[in-house]
Amino acid sequence: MVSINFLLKAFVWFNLRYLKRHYGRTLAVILGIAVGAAVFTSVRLSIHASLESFSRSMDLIAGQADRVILRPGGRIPDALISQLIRHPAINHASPVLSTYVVVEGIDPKPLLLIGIDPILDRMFRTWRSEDLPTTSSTQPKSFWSTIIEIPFSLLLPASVARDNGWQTNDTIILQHVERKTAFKIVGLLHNSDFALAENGQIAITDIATFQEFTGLYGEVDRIDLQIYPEASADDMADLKSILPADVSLSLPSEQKDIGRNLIRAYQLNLSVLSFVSLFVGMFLVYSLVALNAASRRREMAILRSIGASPRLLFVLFLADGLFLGVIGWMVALPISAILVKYLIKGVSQTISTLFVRLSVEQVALAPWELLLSFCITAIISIAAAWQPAREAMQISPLEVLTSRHSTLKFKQFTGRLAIIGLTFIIMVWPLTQLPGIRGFPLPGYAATFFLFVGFALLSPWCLCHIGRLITPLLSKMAGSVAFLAGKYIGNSDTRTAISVGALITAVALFIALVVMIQSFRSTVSLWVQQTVAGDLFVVPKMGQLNRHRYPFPQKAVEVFQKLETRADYVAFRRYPMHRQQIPYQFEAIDFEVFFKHAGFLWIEGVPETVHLRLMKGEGVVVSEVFANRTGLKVGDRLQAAIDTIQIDLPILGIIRDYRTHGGVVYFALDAFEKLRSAYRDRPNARLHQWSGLRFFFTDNHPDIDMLVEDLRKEIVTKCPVPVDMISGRQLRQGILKIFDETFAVTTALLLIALLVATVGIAVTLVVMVLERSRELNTLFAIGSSFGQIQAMIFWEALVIVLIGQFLGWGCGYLLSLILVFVINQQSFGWTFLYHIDWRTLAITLPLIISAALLATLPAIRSVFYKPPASLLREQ
Amino acid sequence: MPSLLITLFYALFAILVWTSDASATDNKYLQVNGPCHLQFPKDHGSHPGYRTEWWYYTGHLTTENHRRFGYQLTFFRSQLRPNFVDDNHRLPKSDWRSNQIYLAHAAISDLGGKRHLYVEELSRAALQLAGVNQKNMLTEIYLKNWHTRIGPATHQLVMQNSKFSFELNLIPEKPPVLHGQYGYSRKGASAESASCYYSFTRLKTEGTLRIGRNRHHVKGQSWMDHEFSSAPLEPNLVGWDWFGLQLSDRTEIMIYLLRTRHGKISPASSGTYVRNTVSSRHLDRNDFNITVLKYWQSAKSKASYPAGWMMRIPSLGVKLKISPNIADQEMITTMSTGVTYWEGSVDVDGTVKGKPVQGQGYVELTGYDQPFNAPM
Amino acid sequence: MSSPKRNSIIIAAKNLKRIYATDSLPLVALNNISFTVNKGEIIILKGNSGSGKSTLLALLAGLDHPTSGSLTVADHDLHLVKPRDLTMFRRNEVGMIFQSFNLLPTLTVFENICMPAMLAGKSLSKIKPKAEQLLIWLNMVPRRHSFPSQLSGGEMQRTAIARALINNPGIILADEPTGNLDSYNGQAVINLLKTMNRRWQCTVIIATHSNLADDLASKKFILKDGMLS
Repeated sequence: MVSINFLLKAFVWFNLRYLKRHYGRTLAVILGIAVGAAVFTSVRLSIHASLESFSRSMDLIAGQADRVILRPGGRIPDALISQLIRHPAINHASPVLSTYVVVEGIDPKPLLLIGIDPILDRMFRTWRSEDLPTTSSTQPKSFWSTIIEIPFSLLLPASVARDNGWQTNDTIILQHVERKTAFKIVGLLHNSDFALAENGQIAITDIATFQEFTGLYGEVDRIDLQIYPEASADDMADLKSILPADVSLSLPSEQKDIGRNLIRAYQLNLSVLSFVSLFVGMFLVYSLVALNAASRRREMAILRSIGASPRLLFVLFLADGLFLGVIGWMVALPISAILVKYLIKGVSQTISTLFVRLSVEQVALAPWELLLSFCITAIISIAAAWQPAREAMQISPLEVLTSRHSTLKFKQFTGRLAIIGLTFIIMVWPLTQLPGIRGFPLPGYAATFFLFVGFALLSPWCLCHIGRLITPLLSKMAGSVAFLAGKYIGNSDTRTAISVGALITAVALFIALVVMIQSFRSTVSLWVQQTVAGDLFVVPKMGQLNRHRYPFPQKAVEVFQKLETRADYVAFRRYPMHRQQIPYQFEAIDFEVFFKHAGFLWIEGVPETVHLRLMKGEGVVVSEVFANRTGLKVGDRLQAAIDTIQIDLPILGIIRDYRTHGGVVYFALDAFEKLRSAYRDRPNARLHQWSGLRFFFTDNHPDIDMLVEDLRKEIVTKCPVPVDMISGRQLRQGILKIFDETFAVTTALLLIALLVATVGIAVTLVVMVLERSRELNTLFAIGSSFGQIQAMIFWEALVIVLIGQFLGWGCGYLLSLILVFVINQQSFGWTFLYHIDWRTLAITLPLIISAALLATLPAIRSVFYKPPASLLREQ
Repeated sequence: MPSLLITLFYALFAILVWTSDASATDNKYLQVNGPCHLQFPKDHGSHPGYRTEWWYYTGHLTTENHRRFGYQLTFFRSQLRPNFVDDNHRLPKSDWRSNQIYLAHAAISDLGGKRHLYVEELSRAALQLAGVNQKNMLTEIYLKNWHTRIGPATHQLVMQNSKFSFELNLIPEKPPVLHGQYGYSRKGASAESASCYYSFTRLKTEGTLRIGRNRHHVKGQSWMDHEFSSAPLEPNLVGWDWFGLQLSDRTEIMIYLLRTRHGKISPASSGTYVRNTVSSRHLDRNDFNITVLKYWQSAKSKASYPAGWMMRIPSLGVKLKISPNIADQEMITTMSTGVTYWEGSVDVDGTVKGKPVQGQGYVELTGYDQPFNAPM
Repeated sequence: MSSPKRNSIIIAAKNLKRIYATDSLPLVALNNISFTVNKGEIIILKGNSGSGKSTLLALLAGLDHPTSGSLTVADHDLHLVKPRDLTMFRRNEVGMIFQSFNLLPTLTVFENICMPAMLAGKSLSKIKPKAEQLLIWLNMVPRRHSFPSQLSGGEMQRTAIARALINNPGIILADEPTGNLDSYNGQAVINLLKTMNRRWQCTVIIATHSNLADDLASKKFILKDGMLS
């Protein structure tokens, strides 16, 4: 057995010096790997940071609770607390209220105002004064009593106060649905523990103040509990029995898990996408190690002749690959550090828009993520070097005595490889039929992987056969040079073909993503026009951010009903709900007016008949996402308790919807209000509870914007409460803008994958040229001109690029189907109208071809990089 | 034990409230500066407007197997500010809006097992979490699921916790004793440095006591104090030693010593001697003499407390040796008042007018952990 | 290996045959060759291109495997051993010198010399004295840190000789050692081979066209069409 010491020496002498001599290509490959690894690492770090930030914030807000009492879509009477606090199962209980509020004059970050009883809450959340020494363990007592003592006072994290130039005893004006009120800052929180929730954008006030400010007398959002560890099953059963029927006793982690699962699905999507860059980098390693193995046959034979075992050669070539991977990963670190700063913004913004609200300011170094990216990079590099290293093992020591330069060719396997490749491609179909695993589109990704591998395995056969097929054509078109090029391609070995795999992968990914994004965008655009129709949208202040949980007060509703501006309005009441851990929005909407001006994109259900039944309140329509996630179909009944109101309704149709937070269920507003009137004895039950309105102008006025402006002015003047308003046009533009921003990250990743593939093509072509130095010199010797030889290389490159494109197109088309109909459905629950934007493809594909051909330049230049004489001497 | 806890309280809340909001001093709390005119049962209830108030029970219990326990149960009321009128907000008030905070301490001294257990509770007076109810002849002081109900003939105490719980019925054997001048008990030089203070010095007690999983039927004697005031601690004082002793000749002695910064006993220190008849006699500083026999140092707080006394009241012929039943009966109440003090069961042995007497009692020692540096 | 002259006979070939499979007819490279070589002899192997010289050297070096017949070299029955053991044989028993030198281009002179010993599992510190000795003897000390591309032909061959000797092999096989050298350097190499034979009692087998070494040969084998003549 050879020692590690020897292996290290051998590696330095044999591999490292060689790589150093050929530093140009070594650097190119390392750079390629580095870019791939950097993209992967930074994407993982960004999402990890987002996930951590979300979890931390949820944990900080959830505090030490081990159970939470919630009412889906509603609130809980706070009088429950006196019963709960005395219950034998309960050790501690703390009621919590929270809402986003705007600070007047401060733009744009809203604060999360949290209302608690600081005494009951002490066992749940930790916070302390900025001013008091950290050493004292008994200190916060002084601090909390002031918010009880002084009405409309609050505590702020010191960081928020500092950012806004506020100090203790300053007064700030908070805006909420019902009113604007002055609050006195009575203390600053040390930036630790609870004060870090929501990235520090919080304010703590007493529960009494909160209720008086928001008008939520007698109600709380939730009650956090700590259960006695020794509480018996009977105690727990008894606890459940004292709770109202529609109130749930759940684990605090449920809310977090729902959010985490949503983010995880996104994490997986982005990881896979960023992995593609690494995957393409794998082809680079393969090219270089294969080149090294090919051009160092003699050295290996010498090593064998003086006593090296085949295994040693295998190890040395694997080490070549590993070295490239490890160095690439190390170079990737500083690149990641820069990249992650840009990515984190996009990623956290996307997560905030699509899934759960979060704000991430810092990226923590996550050792496990770094280890993961290191391991994946290392494994990929070793895997890439495996086949050339196996080839190196086969070299006979006898070759030292011969000057024959035998190259191992695998052409005889191309047929077999093609069959295996086809099998892989065929396997894609059954894989796409499998359901996602717990919201993760694993079968979809497996299908993608099979598709890529299948096409890569198919490429040698295609290369040979297409090469032979087009040789006559080429020679007709461009003479003997092109003929030689075609001949070469027709006889090229697996190595060249596998390198083409990089191009196939990148092109396929490009096509597929362009198709997917375009399909997605055009469907969303259609949805926005149809379903998000309207000229002005009005919601209570912070209505969107507070998830429509604060409807307009009655006095505002009365104003809306008596506006002078002539416009139809659609009122809606929206509730954030969940079903089987799947979040959705229940929206009661005035269908009559809605269908007059807007409509749904139907997937199932006959609009004409369903419209009528919907208006009568005979059932609901659900979004595709909701149907896919819950498994409910048309004809099934939807049962739910929405803010104490029990509904049990048939599903009449399934529609497309691309709203965030999962699915949507639509129901008729007047039918819902009738149902609710059965519960009139509830506190705060009012006839109309509107989460918002949208206005439609009936006149075909040429200047809609002017009408909108007039309506806006009238509302501002008359409405007794602060509102948020947005014109329909702005809203729709906003949605599409968010859409485009969301895919900005994706597009960036795509371009990087293409970049890596271009480097791959460049390396492959240089390899091809260098390997044939002798052959090319012979051609030179028998009378070819430089120009002719360069032209030949150009033709070869062109043929390879075209074949890569051709296969890439096929692969990309299949991939786009998988993305649109399998992966999106499995990870987000939605699909889109399949739409190929030929114009975009027509513009971009020549660009890819040009880029690939540009990549041939180094190869062409390298033809006579060394004078023929030196080549002879080396031999 | 009048001003001791008041002091503790003030040390705690006054700091917070007064430093954070100077305007709180503008509106004044009600002051105790003259006769209290106590009427029962009305004055068993709470006295909002006064800053601090407490109902304090201690006692000595014995099981059928002659196992001895001491207990303490105290409810405190603390008003955060004189009133909470807020002219800026004409909004209806939330049910949570309250400026009364209730705190409670409970402790058990297991004399045989040499254990001292204590727990604390805290809540605002809102949504039936804590407060005082008075209906007909019944006064209820409650905090979560702890309460005391004071009726015409009995006091009922209930406290529950996972560590221990007890339910006790107390029957007064003597009417309430008003300390000082008809309940007006001076705690310092000025007229306002005073509290309203009365005690039930001898209550026959019976009930159940649970420690962990062990339940005991217990009988014994209790002592009850009720006191309220708005006066802060005078600045030259560091703490208080309070004695409540029940002697075998059916007399009781209450004495509190106010300790000054220089280790002297303030002239405002006083006491009450309750005869075996119904009458009682006020004791002023010159009537008694208490010397410390030894000290005990707490391992937890490092505070050094007196741990044995000789009490002499020459005019009554009283000469008593007072010894703690357990050395460590220290209360570190970080979750409620935040004050560290010693409150414990003691045994008494000595003579009254030459006749031997035994007895038991409770002693409270404050200001040993750290002197109060209240800014008042 | 049942010969009574066991101690003196180092190579014994009997009916040695090597046939290469080709696309058309099988090529008989060696045809029933039998011979013995005693320890310490210098053998000159002569023959034209394609006569089987290289094939025979390859068999003796353990680089190749006979099709039939027996070949015993330094107590190793090469017709019986597995390829894996051939690696051990090459490491320990033979040193090879080639016409094209076959130095590893990424290794310095010193490293090239040490490599076979290192492959045999010896540590550099143990190899160093012997390598130094060889460098001095071959007058290569000033070039010890040079890479092969920086050496003249003679220097390269001297390096190759040192490399062949590093493991103290009993047999040195030289394939056209002077073929790529001018006559001065060629003569020098022949002299070195002679010295090796004397100094380390190596058995030396030289396959060559040239006559430079003729007068030091103990035996001369002439190969023609795969047969000894």
